[in-house]
Amino acid sequence: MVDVGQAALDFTVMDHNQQQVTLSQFKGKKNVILSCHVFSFTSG
Amino acid sequence: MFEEKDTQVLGISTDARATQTAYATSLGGVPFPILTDFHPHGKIAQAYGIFNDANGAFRRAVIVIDKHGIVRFKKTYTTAADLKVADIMAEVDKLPK
Repeated sequence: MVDVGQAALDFTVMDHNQQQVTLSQFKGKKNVILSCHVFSFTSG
Repeated sequence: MFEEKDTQVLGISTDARATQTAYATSLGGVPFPILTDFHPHGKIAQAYGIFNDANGAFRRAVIVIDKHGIVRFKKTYTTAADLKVADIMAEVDKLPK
């Protein structure tokens, strides 16, 4: 399990605009906030 | 808000891509990508230890990763109201420049 202080697990997934997003594309450029939701269309 | 701090926000859930598209449209558009961890289901959630086996979804959580690719903050929340943007901003301010 990836925890604080460890290297983030890289991933490539689709976004809502059907664009591929790879976590490591931000490396060296931007910090990333991963905002994890329970389900879309809910208060989660 | 976070853009000024060289920080990219990525939303994510285990919902399918079509659901994310419909959700973003229903909100009148969103200023950041909403990612899908649908297939293989919950792979990212499981890797970060925040997959809820009871409902097949993410636990409500925020993960902050610095520019060097290191996880600097990870916290789960019981309700959406527990999550304070100012707290996340404070975590971002602690990151190495």
